[in-house]
Order: sequence, then C-alpha cells, then structure tokens
Amino acid sequence: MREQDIHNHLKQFILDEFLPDTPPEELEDSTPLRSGGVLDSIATIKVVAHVEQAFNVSLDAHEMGEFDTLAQLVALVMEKHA
Amino acid sequence: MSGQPLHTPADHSRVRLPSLAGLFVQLVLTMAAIHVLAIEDRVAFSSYFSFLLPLGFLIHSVLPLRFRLPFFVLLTIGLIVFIFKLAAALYLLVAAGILIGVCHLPVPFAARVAILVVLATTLGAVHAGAIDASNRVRVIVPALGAIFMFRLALYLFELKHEKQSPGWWTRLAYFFLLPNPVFTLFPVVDYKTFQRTYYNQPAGEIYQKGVLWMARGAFHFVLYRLVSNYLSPPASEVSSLGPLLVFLISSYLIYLRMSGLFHLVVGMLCLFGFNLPETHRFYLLASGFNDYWQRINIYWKDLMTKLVYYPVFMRVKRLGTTGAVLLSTAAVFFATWILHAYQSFWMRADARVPMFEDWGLFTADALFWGIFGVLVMINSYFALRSKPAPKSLKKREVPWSTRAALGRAVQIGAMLVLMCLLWSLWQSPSVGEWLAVLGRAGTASRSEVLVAAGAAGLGLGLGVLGQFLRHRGLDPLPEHPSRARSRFTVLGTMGALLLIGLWHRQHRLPGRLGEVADAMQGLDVRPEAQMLVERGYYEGLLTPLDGYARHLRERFGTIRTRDKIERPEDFPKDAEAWKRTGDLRYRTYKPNAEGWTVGVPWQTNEWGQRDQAYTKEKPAGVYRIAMVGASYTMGRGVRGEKDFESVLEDRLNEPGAASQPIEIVNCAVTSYTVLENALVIERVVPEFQPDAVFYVAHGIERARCARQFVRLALRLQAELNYEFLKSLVRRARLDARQSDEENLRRLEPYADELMQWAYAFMATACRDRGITPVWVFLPTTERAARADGDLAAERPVVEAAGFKVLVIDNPYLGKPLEQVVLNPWDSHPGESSHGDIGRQFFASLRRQQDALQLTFSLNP
Repeated sequence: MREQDIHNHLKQFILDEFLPDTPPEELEDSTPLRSGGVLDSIATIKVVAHVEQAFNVSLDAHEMGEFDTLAQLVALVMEKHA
Repeated sequence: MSGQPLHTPADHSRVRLPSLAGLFVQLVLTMAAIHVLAIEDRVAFSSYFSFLLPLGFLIHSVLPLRFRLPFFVLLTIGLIVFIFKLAAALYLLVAAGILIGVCHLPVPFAARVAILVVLATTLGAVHAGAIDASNRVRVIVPALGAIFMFRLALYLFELKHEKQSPGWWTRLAYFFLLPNPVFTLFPVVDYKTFQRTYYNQPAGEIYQKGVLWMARGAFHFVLYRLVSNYLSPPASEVSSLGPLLVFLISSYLIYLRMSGLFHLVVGMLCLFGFNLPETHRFYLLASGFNDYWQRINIYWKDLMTKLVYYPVFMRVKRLGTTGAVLLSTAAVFFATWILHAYQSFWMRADARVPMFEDWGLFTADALFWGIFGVLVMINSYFALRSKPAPKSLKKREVPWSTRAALGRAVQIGAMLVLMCLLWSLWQSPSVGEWLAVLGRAGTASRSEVLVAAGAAGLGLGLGVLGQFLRHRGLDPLPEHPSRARSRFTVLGTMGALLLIGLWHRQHRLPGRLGEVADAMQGLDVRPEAQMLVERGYYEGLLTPLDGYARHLRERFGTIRTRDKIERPEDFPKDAEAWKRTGDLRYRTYKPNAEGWTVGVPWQTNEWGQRDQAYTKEKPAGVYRIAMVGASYTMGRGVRGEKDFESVLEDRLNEPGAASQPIEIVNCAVTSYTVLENALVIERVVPEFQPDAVFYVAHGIERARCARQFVRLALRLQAELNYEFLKSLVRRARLDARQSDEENLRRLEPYADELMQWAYAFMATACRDRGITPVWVFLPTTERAARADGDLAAERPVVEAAGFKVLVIDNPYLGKPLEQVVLNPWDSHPGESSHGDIGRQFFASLRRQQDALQLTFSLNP
C-alpha cells in the first residue's frame, strides 16, 4: 500500500470517528491529536485497533504512545509494513 | 558529554532582556508572597527557594543553551548537598548512580529489572528498619524513593525502545529535578514528554507559564487553608443535611492542597525550560468519569496508560476491543490502588502504610478505587459504543443554546456531587462511619433544604453564565491565557496576597478579619475538636510531623532550636515520667521526674508538680492559691521559672504589691481537661490547704472534655468511679467497638451536661473545704480573636456552678500570632508570651479583685 493511500485512509478515519464536523483541510499532518485533546486513551485504542485490522499489522504496547500526529501515525504504519 | 539537548531549536531558548526582567519581577513577587504566607513551610519551601529559585532562574536563562542542563543538574545536586550535608548526600548520589547505571547494564532487560527489584527491596528493608543502617542512610531513603519510585520504571520502559540517546545531561536532569529533594510527593513526570517539551516553545512563553502556575499553586494553597479551617466539620459534628453538604464538599476541596503542590512543582520546572503539560485541568468541571480521569492528576493517568493500560490491552486484545478495554481499565485501577500504598511506604519517614494497618481504612480505600474503577469502566463501555461528541480543531461560530448549556451544567453538577461522595468515602476511617454520616442527611430542616436548593440553582446559573461568556469570547477560565493576562493574574493575585500578609504582620487585621488572615497564613484557627481531624490519604502524606519534613525544616537554625519536640510527642513522651492514678485522671506526673519539654529542661518536685516544692502545710500568714489547668498552665515549652504562673507569683510578692505573702502551687498537668481537673481539685489540691483554686480554662472546654471522655472511658478504660459518668456511657450508647468519631457524635447531645457535671463537681469540692473557686479565662493563642464568643459560651455554666470569674484582659497584647507561639508547629505560648500573660494576669486580678472577693488585697 502506498504511503499516500495510508495517509488518506487514516485521515478519513480520524475525521469520521473523532472530528465529524471538521473540514478535511483543518486536519493537518502536524495537528497534535493526543496532546491536542482529539484522541484520549480510548480513542487511541480505537485508532490502533483500526490500524491493525485495516493494514494487517501488529503494534507493540509502547508504540501506542509513540504517535501524536497524523504524519507520525502514517510513519508508524509504513515502518511496520517495511 | 554534551549539554546540548535533542530537538531544541536554539532560538527558542533566548528571551529578550526587558521580558526577562518582567519575568524576574513576577517571580520575586510570587516568592515573596509564598514566604509571607508561609506556603509549604511544612518543608521550609520559602527558606530553600526564596533566593535559590529567582537567582537560579536568572543565571540559567542567560547561559548558552548547552550549559543549561548541566547547570540545572548541578543546582539540584548542590541543593541535595545542602539538605543532607556532604556525607549523606554522597550516599544518595552514589545510590542514584547505581540505580541509573543498572538500567544501562549490557545484560538482558529482564535481568536489569531483576537487579533493580533486588536493590529496591534492600532499600525498602532499610527504610522499614528490617536492615540496620546509619542515620545518614536512613534519612536519604524518602528522597531516593521520591526520585526513583516511579520515574525509574518510566525511564527503563523508554530506554528499552530508545532509538536515539538524548544525552547524559538530559538523563540526569530527568532524575535530578530541582524541587524534588524538597517535595517528595511529586508529579510523575513522563520521560518522553520531559525530553520532547524542553524549550519546544519560545522561552518567554514557557517561563511565563511557569510563574503563572506557581502563582496558581500558591493561590490553591490559600484556598485549601480557608476550606480546611472554615469548611471542614469533623464527622461527629454532622447532624443534618446542611453540615453534611459542607462536609462532603470539603472532602473534595481539600484536594486543592495537592493541585497547589503540583502547580508549584511544574511551574518551577517550566522556569528551566521544561515545558511540561499541566498536571490538572479544571478537574472540578469534569462532566463524566472518563473526563474526570483525564483531568485530575494527568501525569498519573499518563503513567498508568503507558505502563498498565496499553500493555494489558495489547496482551488481552484477543478478547475483542470492548473486553480488552474493560480489563485494562480494571488493571489500571487495581494498580493505582496498590501503588498508592507503595507511594505511602516510600514517602513516609516511618515507612507506614496506614490503609494496610487498619481494616476500616483498608475497606474504604479499596471501595473508593473499586467504585471509581467500575464507573470509569461503565463510562468506557458506552464511549466505545457511541460516537464521541463532535470536536473542532479551530474555533468556529456555533449558535448559542441555553438548553445545551444547562444540560452541561447539570452534568458537571452531578459529577461534582458524585465525586464529593466518593472522596468523602476515601477519607473516612471506615465504610460504616461513612454510611453513618450520610444517614444524617435525612434530618433536614426546611431552611436547610431551601438553602441547598438555592445553592444548587446558583451553581447551575453560574455554570450557564460561564459558558455564555465563553461563547462570547470572554472565557473566565481560559486553558491557555495570553501572556498579558498571565502577567496581570500573577501581579494582581500575588501582589494582593503579599499586601494582605504584610499588613497583617505589621498591624494585625482586626477581629474575624485577622483570624481569616491567620488562617490564610497557615495557622490553625479551628476549634480544638476540629483541629484533631486528619482527613485522607494526601493529608496523611503531607503532614508536617513526618520525619523527612522535619529534617528539611531542621536545616534552618531558626526553626531547629525550637522544634525538637512536636505536638504528637507531647511532654513528657517518656512513659517513665508518668504514673497511673487508678481513677478518672488515668495518669499523672511522677514525683521528681526529669525530662524535656519542646527543647527545654523539665522536672517535677517531690509531689509530682512542675513547680518549686511547697510544704503541704500552708505557712501561717500566707494566702495560698492552687493553680489548676493543662499544658498552658504547666508551661509547655518554657523554662520552669518563666511560665506565667511563676511570673504572676513574683509580681504578687513584689514589695507592697499585696496585703500578705501569696503562694501559688502549680497543680497543672499537660492534656488534662475539666474532667481530670475535677479529680485534681478533689484529691490533690486539698492536701496543700489553699485558700483559693484558680482553674485556668480556655473557653474550649466543652469540645475538649467530650473528646477526652470518649478517650478515657473507651480507649484507656480509665476507672469512671462516678454513677453519673457510668450512666452517661449507657445513655449516650457509647461503645468501644465504634469509632471515636461515631462515639463523639453520640455524646454530642450530652456534652453540655458532662461539662456542667465537671464544673459542679469542682465547685462543690472547693466549697466543702472552704476554698474559693475561681474560673480564670485565658484564650488560646489561636482563638484570641474569638475570645469574646468563647467566654460568652462558657461563663454562664461556670457561674451557675458557683465559680467566680476572672478574665485575663488582652493576654497576648494584640501581637501577631507568629510572635506569640512557641514555633510554627506548636501554638502554645512562647516564653515572652508567658511573661505577657503573667503581667496581664496580675493587672486583671488587681482590677477585678473586688468582684472576686478574695481575702487578700492588691494595692493599686
């Protein structure tokens, strides 16, 4: 899967699940998701569960706290795919 | 070894000189207010940091970036050396080096964990006294615990997954955080956040946030003191809905002390470029249990999320997301419960874990965390099943809805009520007592219901108004205030508090206002009964009586010399100085005993009195007074010849002062109340053939004697001997199996009767022997401002019993409390105050002698 596809997929998922009223252009690659209050611990679990299912990867516990932005999440998935 | 941290843009670390000067002024003002208000004087906070912090901040902020972390670490090490002195500090530094070094050993991760567990267990055994160690070692253990008990686990966790070394100065700075040696109850700073946020914003913004948070912390402390003095009734005084609501609210609000402490600590760290996130986010405004968990002690939540929640989830995710989330949440609350006990062990110099020592506390503690956990699990279950409330990344116009605002206010209000209930459970000595207190809500008067409904309505109204203002862009509580607003807040609040404190010190504010100012400065102005109340886990950890806190204070000589023995070790602590009496008094001083009282020598005469040895037979021509009372009259903390009884006796016997020689026999015994003193007057006083008894009372006898009766009758099993007392036990349904608080509540309706009985007993014992009973009113140092009210409450009782009343006018000469008391930790009058009391006693006796109708006279 291409990086751009992963990026688009995850961005859409976050917008649908957690920011339903937000125009897509407002969610930038560097928008802080966890430290910015968009994702709490349950939301993070939802994201991780979705990532594992959608991209057929397995994340470690410490990686759940590794990403704070969309760009970092995409990089994490890419790293798992590599 | 480079001091240049990772990820830090050099331009973020600079701040312009005018801006730095402004920050310095705010910091100095904040530290001055903290000093005047004696914030955290429990650990001598302002003594350690009044100069160190502003100076350290100034030097640090002008240093090149690569020198700042080394400077910060060395500053902390310097503080450690000052606190513990070189030898003990070296022990601490070596132990710290070993613990950090083990994390880096080139052995498998599990082996490093095993070695650390062995080391921690050994240290724990030293702390608990299971392994003998010198004082130098024992004194550093709470500091080691405070530094490593949680942060070492986070460090090790991150080290396992570290991709790039942050440099040794960053590693050392993470452990050697400047406030930590003084504050052992410390927010669990996350290692990764610590690295990531170092100068991640312009320095000026981080520093401004730091000063603001320190000011907020100081303000929280002041609020806490007001709540603790004016809104914290003991459970025994909760008799209906009104007091119950106050009790519940205060149970929650005393957490202000914790939030104040954490704001102070993190604010200080911000001043050195560590742009750490907030530790609490308006937790009183939480609208659900998950929301609450995300707002209160956020660092703890992050610790649990990283080390328990995510790892457990990943291990059990095969159960499905919902099952795994619920199990992970349960694990988090179980770990939180256990780790609070673990924290108590390391933090307390006596290594105690009170919740594991008392079944009542254990069940209340377990139930609190259990209920809290289940509620968060329920909340999580629904959060997983529903779409979250829409959030927006940017501010956008949303139409105002009063109904939605009211709904949110109701949600917050309901959450507040639930948390008050839960916190009151956590702070209760047992579940049974908590239920008993709640059971009194049923007895509500119509006016109480109306006031409660009005308060709830007002709260909801304010909630809606706050949201309306926020909607209009006038947010009263912004999460990220502008720098200008922060400056204004710091200068305004700290300036006002400093002015009030200074004015009160110089001129003493009048009446109740003065008492409130005393309370703001950390003095306990509550009635005696309430002062004995200790509430909850954090209050237990933050006690000034803890050995580590005492060590911190003792580094400053002005306190040390007067601070050797504190309240719980009331004199004489040595059991050999006491003997059992076999009656209601339970115990009294032994004859010819010797010892110390708050650092000054103490001894009794051949009759077991702290006085010169008078013959039992009164010499001819002498007027003899037997002085009866408790620790004030005994002269706690002052030399024998300097107590007010001796000063008075000297004045009375100055040439030409009185019509005849006067002797005063001091029969006072520390901690005695009107109950034991009734026996003193009946059994001890007559042996000395006095003409008069001066019973020195403080106007708080009702509360003291009720509490003491419960203690004597049920805990000490003192011989009651009198049918009235035995019947009182029956009538009030006092029961040793009940807690003291519950017994006190049961005794409350009979407290007046008990006091009347004791005074009548005293007066009768005097009259039967031809002795004149005089009730001398001397307010305590802390209640001098309330003396009129206290006198008015007890005077009718003693006059009805047959006492003549002598009021010592203005015994403390209106001096500020801190000039009157023995030391900041003991509110008994100091030596110079005893001199004042003695002279005022003499002057009052001379003025009021006609009313007293004694058989000697004093010349004008």
